[in-house]
Amino acid sequence: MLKYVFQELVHRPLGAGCLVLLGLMYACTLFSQFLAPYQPTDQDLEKAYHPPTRIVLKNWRPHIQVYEQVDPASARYKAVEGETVPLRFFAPGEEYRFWGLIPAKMRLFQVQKPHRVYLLGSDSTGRDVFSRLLYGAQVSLSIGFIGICITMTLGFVVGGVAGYFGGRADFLAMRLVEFVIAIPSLYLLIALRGALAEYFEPEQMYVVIVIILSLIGWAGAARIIRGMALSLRQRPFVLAAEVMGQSSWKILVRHFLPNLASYLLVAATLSIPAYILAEAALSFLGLGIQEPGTSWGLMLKQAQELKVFTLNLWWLFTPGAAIFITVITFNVLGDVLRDVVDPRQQMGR
Amino acid sequence: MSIQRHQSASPEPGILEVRNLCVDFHAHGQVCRAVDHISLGIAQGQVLAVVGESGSGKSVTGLALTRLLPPPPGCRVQGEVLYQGRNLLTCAPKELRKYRGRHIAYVFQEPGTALNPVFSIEYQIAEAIKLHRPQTKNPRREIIEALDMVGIDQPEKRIGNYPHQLSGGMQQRVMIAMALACRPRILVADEPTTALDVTIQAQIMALLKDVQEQMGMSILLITHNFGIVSGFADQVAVMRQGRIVEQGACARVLSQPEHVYTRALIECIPVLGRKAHRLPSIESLQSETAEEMTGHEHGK
Amino acid sequence: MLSFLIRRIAAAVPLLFGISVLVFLLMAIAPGDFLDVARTQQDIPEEYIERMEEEFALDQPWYARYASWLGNVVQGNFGESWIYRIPVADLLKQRIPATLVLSALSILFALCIAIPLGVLAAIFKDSIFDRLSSMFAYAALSIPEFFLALLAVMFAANTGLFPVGGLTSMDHEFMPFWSRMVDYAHHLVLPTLVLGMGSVASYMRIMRANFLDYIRADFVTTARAKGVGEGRVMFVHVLRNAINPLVSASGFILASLLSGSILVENVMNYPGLGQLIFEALMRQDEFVVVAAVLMGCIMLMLGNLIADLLLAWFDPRIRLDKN
Repeated sequence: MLKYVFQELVHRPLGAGCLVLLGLMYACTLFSQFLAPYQPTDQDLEKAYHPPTRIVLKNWRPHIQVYEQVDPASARYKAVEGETVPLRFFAPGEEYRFWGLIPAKMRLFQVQKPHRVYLLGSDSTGRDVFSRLLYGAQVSLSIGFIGICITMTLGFVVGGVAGYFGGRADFLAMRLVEFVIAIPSLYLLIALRGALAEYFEPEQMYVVIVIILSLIGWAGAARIIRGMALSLRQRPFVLAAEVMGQSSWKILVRHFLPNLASYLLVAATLSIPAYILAEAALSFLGLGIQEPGTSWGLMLKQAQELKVFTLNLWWLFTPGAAIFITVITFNVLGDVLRDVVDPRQQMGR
Repeated sequence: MSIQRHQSASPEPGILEVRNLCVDFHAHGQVCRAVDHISLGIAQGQVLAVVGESGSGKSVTGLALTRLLPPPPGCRVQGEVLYQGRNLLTCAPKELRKYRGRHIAYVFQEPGTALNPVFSIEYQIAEAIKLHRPQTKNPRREIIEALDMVGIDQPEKRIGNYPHQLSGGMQQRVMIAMALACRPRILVADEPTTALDVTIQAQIMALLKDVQEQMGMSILLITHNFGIVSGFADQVAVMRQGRIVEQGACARVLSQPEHVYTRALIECIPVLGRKAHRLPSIESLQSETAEEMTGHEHGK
Repeated sequence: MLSFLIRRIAAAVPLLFGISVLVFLLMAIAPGDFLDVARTQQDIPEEYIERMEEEFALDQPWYARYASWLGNVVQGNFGESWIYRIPVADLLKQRIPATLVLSALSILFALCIAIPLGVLAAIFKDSIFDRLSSMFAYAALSIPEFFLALLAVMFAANTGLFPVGGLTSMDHEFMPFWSRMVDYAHHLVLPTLVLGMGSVASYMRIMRANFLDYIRADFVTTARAKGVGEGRVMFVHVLRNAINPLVSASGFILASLLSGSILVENVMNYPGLGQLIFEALMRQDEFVVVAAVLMGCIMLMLGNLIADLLLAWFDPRIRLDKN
């Protein structure tokens, strides 16, 4: 079934485009450390708020323009005429651990110290925005996936059990779901975070966020899955399985799950954006990923200064664009998936 | 028995004349011809019944008369529908709206869905009156009278009701009252009793007959049920797969059907007291079916 | 209608109860108690701390604390905010109207834009307009609210067309009545736009989908057969039917608005419930946090209730079934 879905998806230009874009993004995330010229914590206080360095061609080889600081108070930089520094590819840089395991030094591009190549400018402490964007992607993009896996599993278990067993289990489960839905999500997020944060180190905030996001997200999925389970329960093949003595859990997994798979797939794709946005919101408020970690939301928090607005330091807003592109791609992909999976929609075309 | 196709115009030119009407539906890259060159006519005060099974194109014919079908490219209508010297298929929309409801009114099969669920029946009937007879002094009074005429009791109370509060039979009466509100010259009744109980069926048909006689209206009755046709219609046209296979005076067609198909249809009418017997099937007409189908697929 | 109301309120009470327990528990899980930070402040008198400890039984296990807190709440005493030094109830009274107004305006704004756009997109399905508005909907849904707020502030700072934040100007107090109203309106424009943007997209998609459903309805053919013009068919007959699900959707939309207002209010310095709850959480003014979360839930419930009532009122099938 998955193969069919994939084939259909590829046939639609919109779906194929989204898949390619997402694939590219996640591929970049895997190789963030290689692609980024600097560590996200690499500061250079003399180059705070540096604009993106211009790349010029000298003798057919890319060079970066050298700048000098004209006015530190207003963060103005002027290009120094004629002075350029060559851009080196596949050059060694700061040491890092590839995928957290293999120590490596090679990076995609570097320039001679003490110069810096700022593809997207630098922030208030001279850290390269482009590098931070890549590292932040690792957090922002993965949180969605992991959170979804937990949520969908929880939702399936609770919804499936409620729908299949009915009676007391159903009643309790649905009251619980209503309970969770009755609280505005960010309120609950904040409250949960407030409660749990004390018990974790700042570096472990990632785990905390995943936990609390999943604890909220499962309710909506559970309710719908329960409805679907209710209708599935009446189907002959389920009755046949029961008569043959299959255990309830086996029935849920072997029979219900494949039938619900298409809905789960669509729901997951459409929910990931919500998780990405929620993590960004939390980090933005300072309640999520914190220093020394990086995430797109955190970067936007650090951009929230009057200086940024009045001096028009637009590059500090690129994480917002990154979030936007990721979320919209998932949304479009989810809609295309839904069209593929739900035949009724197709008829309507 | 040779197949006689009565494609030419009906006995005498009447107030509404249909000439060579064709309706094509386009979907998923394919074309389906639902109505294939039919011609018929309705005279003043006359009842013409169009009889056929599901899919014969009879309902489509009824809707096509005042361009109630989807617009091209989904649906293409060709031919002529002549009324008062104008071709309703080609006249301007503004003009067409003058005829709709005022000269040609409709009663549909499913009154439950044909009435707007969020408006009261007073509102819906008043809408028709305000459109076509804006000078009416007391529309409410007229609506009550109309409801009374179609046999709804306590019309003053019912007038504020919403469709879902009425039974199927009453809903259909409301539809009829709404159609009659502007004293149309032609009433197109598309399977008016199919969705109702048998006893209610008889009542509604009696009501229609009554109203028709009172108002001297013409009726185009579309139905699959030959049973309600006798005693009601003056002329009958039998449709099959988009074409008229037989046409003529009701009494003659019923007693001496010329076409195989007509005969088969009449055979299907249940008769009280007759022993149950095998209903005629289309097998005997198989060859014609195949030929006609290929004709439809590869032809026009 | 009345029995419906009573039933809903009766169902809401245990829910609120449960929520208050949950929030209280969450606060209890966090180490320390309500007054930890307050105790460290230099300028808070000892008697205040002792009084609070007694009123809210802070030296007792959590269920006793909850019971005492509940008892106090029922009497209208939500405790005191040590940051603002006023009773929490007063603080709530100041902040809630601001958020209410913002949310209501956002919904109205969203509906005003979404309904015509959705209807037109449905009528001209698959046209350029349809595709463009669909793209706009995607974009509006996908942009993070706080980012849009940031952009709005940047816009305001750079162009000076709108105030950069807050609800009132410096000299608001001294303005005559009408100037004050205009001042409010001027400050409300950007926050309403930002908060309402996501809702526009949601409403528009629902409107379009529903409208498309009803465009094929039988009663549309009946209306046309009566001679009703296309404009009236679409905007009276179809719209009146298609609009009902928008009312149901408003419940969800309100939930997301309340969440979103936390972000928007913070970025744009708007003095509402969202800003209060955030500030209180950061500075650990816990009485305020608990009360504010509870208030947020109550607002959501009320909003849902109103939406259900409106739906019943709009749809005669629901309204008259109560007979």
